[in-house]
Amino acid sequence: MSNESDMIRESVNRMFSQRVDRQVLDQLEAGVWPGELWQLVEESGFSQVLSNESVDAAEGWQNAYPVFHASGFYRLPLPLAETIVANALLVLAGFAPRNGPMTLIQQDGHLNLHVEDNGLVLNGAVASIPWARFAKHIVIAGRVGTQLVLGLVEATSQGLQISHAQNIAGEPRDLVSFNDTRCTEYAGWCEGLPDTPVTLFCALARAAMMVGAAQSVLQQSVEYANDRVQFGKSIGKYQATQQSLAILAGEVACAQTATMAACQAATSALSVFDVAVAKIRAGQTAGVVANIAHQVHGAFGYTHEHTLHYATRRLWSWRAECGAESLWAAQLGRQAIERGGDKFWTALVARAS
Amino acid sequence: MSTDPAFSRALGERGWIGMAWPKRYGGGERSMLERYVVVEELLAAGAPCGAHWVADRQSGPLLLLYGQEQIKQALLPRMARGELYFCIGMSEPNSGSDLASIRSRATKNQDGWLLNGSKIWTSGAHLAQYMIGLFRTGPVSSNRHADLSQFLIDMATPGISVRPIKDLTGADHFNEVFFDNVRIPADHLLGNEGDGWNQVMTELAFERSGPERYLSCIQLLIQMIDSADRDNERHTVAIGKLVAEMATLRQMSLGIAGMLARGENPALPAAIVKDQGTLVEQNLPEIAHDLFGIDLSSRGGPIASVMSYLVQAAPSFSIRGGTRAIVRGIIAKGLGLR
Ligand SMILES: Cc1cc2nc3c(=O)[nH]c(=O)nc-3n(C[C@H](O)[C@H](O)[C@H](O)COP(=O)(O)OP(=O)(O)OC[C@H]3O[C@@H](n4cnc5c(N)ncnc54)[C@H](O)[C@@H]3O)c2cc1C
Repeated sequence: MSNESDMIRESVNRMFSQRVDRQVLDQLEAGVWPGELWQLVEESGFSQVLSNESVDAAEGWQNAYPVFHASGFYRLPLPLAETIVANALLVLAGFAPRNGPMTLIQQDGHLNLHVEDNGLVLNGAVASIPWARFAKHIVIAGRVGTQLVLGLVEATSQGLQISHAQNIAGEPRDLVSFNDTRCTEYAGWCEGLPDTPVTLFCALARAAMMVGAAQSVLQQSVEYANDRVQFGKSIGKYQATQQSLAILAGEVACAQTATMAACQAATSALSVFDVAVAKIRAGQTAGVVANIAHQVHGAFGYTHEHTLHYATRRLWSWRAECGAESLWAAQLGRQAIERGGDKFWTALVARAS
Repeated sequence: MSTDPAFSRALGERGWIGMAWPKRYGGGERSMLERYVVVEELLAAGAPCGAHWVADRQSGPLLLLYGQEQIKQALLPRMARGELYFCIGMSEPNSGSDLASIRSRATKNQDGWLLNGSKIWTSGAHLAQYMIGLFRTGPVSSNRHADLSQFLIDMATPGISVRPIKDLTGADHFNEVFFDNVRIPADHLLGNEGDGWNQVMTELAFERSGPERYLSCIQLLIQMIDSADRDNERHTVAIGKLVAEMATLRQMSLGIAGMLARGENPALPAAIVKDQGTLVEQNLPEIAHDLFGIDLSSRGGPIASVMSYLVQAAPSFSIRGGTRAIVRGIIAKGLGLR
């Protein structure tokens, strides 16, 4: 990776390791917006790593990877990934990036878009929208007829209502409903860009966050195994523990490889194949990692007092978000079957979908 | 992997054996990444490379590191031509995972070394003209690793006998090799006397770092894709997950080739790929069975024949080249747990 991404990695890790503590994590779960932390993060420019037009997509994703990774590693209680992706999509659609926290919606069957008086109008309700209650703007990707569009809604817009819900990690996953809500701006979505950009971009961001969270769990588990003594020696000296942690490390390596490969090869459209591989692989890792880490930590790791759950509850939530493994796998599998066995290897090497 | 010396010679003619070795020893001076591409394509195509595989993958590189000059000049060009085949003499009946406990012995005499003992599970010993073998060259001391040495052994030397052992599939793949007062010249000691343990670890790193560990089962996956129904979600989801696994393992394997090309030691990532690769490969026949319930009849179609072979071969993937427990021990050490 480039020098710039190294610098970003260093500064983001420095900031999050100092600023993300259990106090802000618990505050969020109690419903308090960590405004001060957001301010700091936004001033650092992290929310625009993927909307910098002077770098190409591959470089952009390589710069964004350490930010997503650190958000997972330190369990950042902010919609940073969502804001980064929202800004990236705004810029791709020809708009300026925005300040303030944002979230995104990919249109589904419950949301209707139509154009009226040169404006994009929204009707319907969509569930599980990350951080919606704290967002200043919402980016919406969908279709009007056959035309792909990207719109921007202000949180204060008329007809917009948010009812609270959260994932098992206590992160906001709200129900957003629109009643003749008008976008402040919208644009046609260019050819060559993905049909469902929110799903695709957020899936890769989530995969990178899962790698970060899984890596923190690995680190925590190895430390704990070296510290905790039973039968007169540290449990890390027992082969059974070593073998479990070896599996954990292998899983993390797989998820990391798949996700970094997708970022390194990114184009502005992203490769559906690469993103699917990353999201599937990271999602599979999430379950194994959480399982082994909790086994190694025993009852201490099962307490709220311990910090392990901030990562494992996120892993369990995140693997199901932005398309669970089975959703992406069905897509990859169908393509492989349609292509036929004799083309499997060449397609794998080309990472083609 | 099947064996076809004519195929090996044809590959040698194309310059696809010993690709990264120096030209003065018959090599191609290509990068490790170029070699990787060729190796991967051969495996993906199911090419019959069994004869020269060990020579190309580990014996050649080992000779380059530890062989005497006249030996390198004599053997490496013929290895690169696909004419000389090697086998690996490590395991013994009482020394599998605990390799450092081997008892076969090499004793120094006036004109070289005298070998006695036996090796077992030696793949391809019945075809190879040479073995690189690990022998004890000193007393069994408190430091078990200190008195082991590696030797180059001409399999035609009097006193060597090879007894085939049928594997569970019925194939003649591995052997027992007996050494009865076998005399070998002094310059057939590889590296330094007593350095055998470190050298054997280097050799195992070559052995474990290739893409074998995720490509042995690819023919079954190809058949599964052709047997699957694109409108059946059980099929698409299962195949899609396997595609993701394979894409990931390939990327990791490619990363290891990059490390080798940069002269870095890939022992830890190689252990991880071996562990994850065997998990996927051993799971593949299980998934195929679950999806298609393939009847393993000798009159079945192509998927039945690939499946029949792999169901039986799969257990060996996590035994040869270091068992699962041993490989995970290496990873644990890398994590700082041992
Ligand atoms: C197809 C095939 C080809 C082979 N080809 C070659 C060859 O060409 N040359 C060669 O030298 N060898 C070869 N081998 C041998 C291979 O290297 C050994 O089988 C392997 O090292 C394991 O040794 P073992 O079979 O004696 O099993 P053991 O070491 O007896 O192991 C049996 C079981 O006990 C476990 N175990 C052992 N020690 C420990 C421990 N400390 N902690 C936890 N569990 C442990 C193992 O993981 C395994 O599950 C081949 C093997 C196979 C199957």
